[in-house]
Amino acid sequence: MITGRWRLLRLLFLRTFALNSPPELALGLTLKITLGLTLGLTVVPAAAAEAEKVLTFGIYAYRPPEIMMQRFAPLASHLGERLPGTRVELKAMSQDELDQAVRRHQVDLVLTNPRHYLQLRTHSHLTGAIATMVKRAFDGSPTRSLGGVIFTRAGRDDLAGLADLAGQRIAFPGPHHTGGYMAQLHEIVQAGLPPPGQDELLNAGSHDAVVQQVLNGTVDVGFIRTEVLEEQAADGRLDLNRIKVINRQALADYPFISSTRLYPEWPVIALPTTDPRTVREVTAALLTLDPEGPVALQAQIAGFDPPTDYLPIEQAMRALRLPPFDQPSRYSLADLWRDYWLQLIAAALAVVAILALSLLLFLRNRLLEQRGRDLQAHQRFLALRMRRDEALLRLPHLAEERDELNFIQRAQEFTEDLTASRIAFIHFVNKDQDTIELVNWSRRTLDGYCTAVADRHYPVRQAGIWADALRWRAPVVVNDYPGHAAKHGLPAGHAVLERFISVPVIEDDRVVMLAGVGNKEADYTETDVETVQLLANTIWRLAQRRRGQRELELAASVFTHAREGILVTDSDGVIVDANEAFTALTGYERGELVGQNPRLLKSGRQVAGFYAEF
Amino acid sequence: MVPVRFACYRLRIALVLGLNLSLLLSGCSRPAPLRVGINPWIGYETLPLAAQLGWLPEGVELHATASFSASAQALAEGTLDAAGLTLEELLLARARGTPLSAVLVFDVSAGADMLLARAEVPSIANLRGRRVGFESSALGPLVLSRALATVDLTLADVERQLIPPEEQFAAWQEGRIDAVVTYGPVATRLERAGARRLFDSRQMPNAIFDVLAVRRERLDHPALPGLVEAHFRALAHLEHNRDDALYRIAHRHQATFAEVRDALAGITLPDLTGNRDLLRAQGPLYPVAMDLNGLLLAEGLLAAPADLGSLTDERFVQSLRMTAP
Repeated sequence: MITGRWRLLRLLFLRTFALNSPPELALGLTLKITLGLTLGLTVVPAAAAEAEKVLTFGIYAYRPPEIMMQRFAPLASHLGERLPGTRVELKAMSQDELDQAVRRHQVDLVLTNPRHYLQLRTHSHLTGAIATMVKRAFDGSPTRSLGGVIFTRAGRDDLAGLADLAGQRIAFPGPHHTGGYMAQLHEIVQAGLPPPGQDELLNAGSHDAVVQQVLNGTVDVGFIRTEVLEEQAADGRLDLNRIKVINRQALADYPFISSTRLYPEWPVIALPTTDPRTVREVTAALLTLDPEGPVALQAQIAGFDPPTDYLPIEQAMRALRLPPFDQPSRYSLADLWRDYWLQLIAAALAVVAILALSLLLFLRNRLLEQRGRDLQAHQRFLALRMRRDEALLRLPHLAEERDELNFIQRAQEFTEDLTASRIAFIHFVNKDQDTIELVNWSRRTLDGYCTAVADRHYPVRQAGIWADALRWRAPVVVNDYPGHAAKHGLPAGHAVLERFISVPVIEDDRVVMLAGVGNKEADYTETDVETVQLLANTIWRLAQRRRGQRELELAASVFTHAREGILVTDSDGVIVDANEAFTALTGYERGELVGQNPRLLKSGRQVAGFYAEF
Repeated sequence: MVPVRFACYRLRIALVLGLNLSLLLSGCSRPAPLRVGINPWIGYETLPLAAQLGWLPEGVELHATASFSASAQALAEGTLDAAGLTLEELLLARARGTPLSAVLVFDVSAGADMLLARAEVPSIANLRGRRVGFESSALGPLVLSRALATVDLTLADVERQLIPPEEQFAAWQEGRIDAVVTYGPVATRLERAGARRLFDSRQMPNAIFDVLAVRRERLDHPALPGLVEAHFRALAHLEHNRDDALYRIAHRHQATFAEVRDALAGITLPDLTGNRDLLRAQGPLYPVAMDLNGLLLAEGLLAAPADLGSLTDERFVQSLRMTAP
């Protein structure tokens, strides 16, 4: 875009210039300059105007750039020779510079360490590794694996295994290193141990510094890449007897001591901007490089292999959360919704459906239970009604067969049974409505509860709340006697009262009797009140009838057996009956007298008016 | 957010409780360790590799045996609970009354088992009447008979000598044998000493399987699923971090990286998917076992065809869910 705009500006400028020049010259100049400018701006920043293609080969300078340049320059020119019409330009850069260059597409090929490769890969689309460098160790042995060394000073017997590293000061060459940092941390984590804290790790800046700091005791432990120890020993800079390697691995003919598992060596990467044919040619040239040739020797490598799997590096980086894998995966609810909205909706609907059906089922069950309960209650009510009717039918017989107290006793037992009560009482109310007379406690009450011998006659005002039935002329139901506020309390020896019913029997607008039951296990109901009322009414009626009959019988007996002659007439003076004494006295038979007027007894000897008075 | 966290919390409680319970139970009755026999065969290297990388579950003991036949013997005696065996050894052991099932296919031989001969025996046909050494297992006769069959010879046409692998090199050096059926490190040493390969298992594809044979009464051993998982984890290491794995295997065999690389080229290692296919009931292993049955009968190694019921037990490979190594 910028290039295009520049070109347009130049063209305009040249056109203006051409107006004052011979046309042929102007045209030729325009073409030439335009071509030159285009090439200069797009292909070669250095503005080389030749038709030669330039391939930029960026190399991570883990050592000083001039050393790297010196080592790899022959490789660059070798590649140039193998690629017709192409010049390979070598650039040794720091990792940051290399990052920038990759992003700006200023390099075509990259040789860097595997960790950096993975980092680059996350930021830029790379075609992937085209080859893995085979390193030539200082002793000439080739290897495409690198590892890490964990070491301390000889004589530190307290440091035997990875577990002993906890709390030790550890020097390492830099956080970007694979064999000097990542490999060791991964080994520690793989052993199930916590990685060293940041305050235990000291960045020494270089491998040499790490070795130095371990030897002079500044730190306890050092992390370095495989080969460094052997190389320094070969140079005479280090006596291997002065150091002790921790967690040494058994790795057969791997040429170096390693404390960790091994990882693949550096990859060569082609950027997607590089044309595929060139990539193939570069790959071929790399793979066929003579491992023993001067180019390889100068670069301190033993050629290149087809790319190995860099997955172990990635796994280690992920396990250690090293950049770019240091971002915790943020899987938000929104992400969850985006990925699984259909399943979530389905699940939600299913849950709603299950809840709705459960609710429906619950309600249905409750309804059925309620109906069942109602039915049972109704059945119980019917059974009660039947028993009540039986009792009501039996009572008149009992009233005839038994004496009054016995009859009342039995009747109270019926009442107790029908209301599931354990006590029952009956009071008659005297005509003055002020005093009441205890007729009876049921036998059960007396057996089970009451030992009190109290006055059977007492004023209503002394009576407890059960007598409210008299005062209010309506049934009283108390289901929580102990908690009832207005209670008087019970005299010593009185039946213990938990709950009770007291009903009045009303005759001629006057309360004549109070009947009650008490101490049912459950609360009293309307049905219980009704039962007590029904039975109480019947008891009163039957008791009254009994008393009436007895009075009549008494009167009749008096009439029959009196020594005085008695004649009974109706209001019209017609003789209804006459007793034996009368018949004996008068000599009239009873049959002769009934239906006559007493005037047939007129003797004529009495004064006038005597009969009228009679 | 809250309900999710709450659910996790409850899950964690359940896990912790479950863990405690399992600890408690294991504390009550720790089962006897699962003793697994491994003879020096490249295909079984995943298990020592897993052991080295700390991936073997608790309760597994690896025992080195000298040969397939030694493994089979120990299984029969009950001094091992499981061992790497070839399929034909498995059939023989079952025929002898050892109740074994294959729960894992380690590898399929693709060139690793071979018939080596001296230079004066240039072809298989020249083996007639010659002394051929092999291990006292079913593998030797199998390879040899297949090799001889290519030129219409039978085992009866050669002079058979039973020589255990560890003595084969000496026997060769001392001139006691003209040819040998062998594998692994011995084969490498013999080839280096000038032995020529007349025949190898590449010419009998899908015939030599190496399996993990387990005594059936130990199939419910709690460490067994973990052992199978450790194999596949080591297999993934071998695939993705091949060089590291190769160096470690080489170290165990006092061999070099290159030797192990070459030895591994002689076998294929079926992955989990391959195992699931191979081990399923009436799967690809069964016709091979039927063929072997015929051969072993013909050789007189079996009196009657071996029963192939529950030859394999696929439950471990079926239930395994691989996570990243």
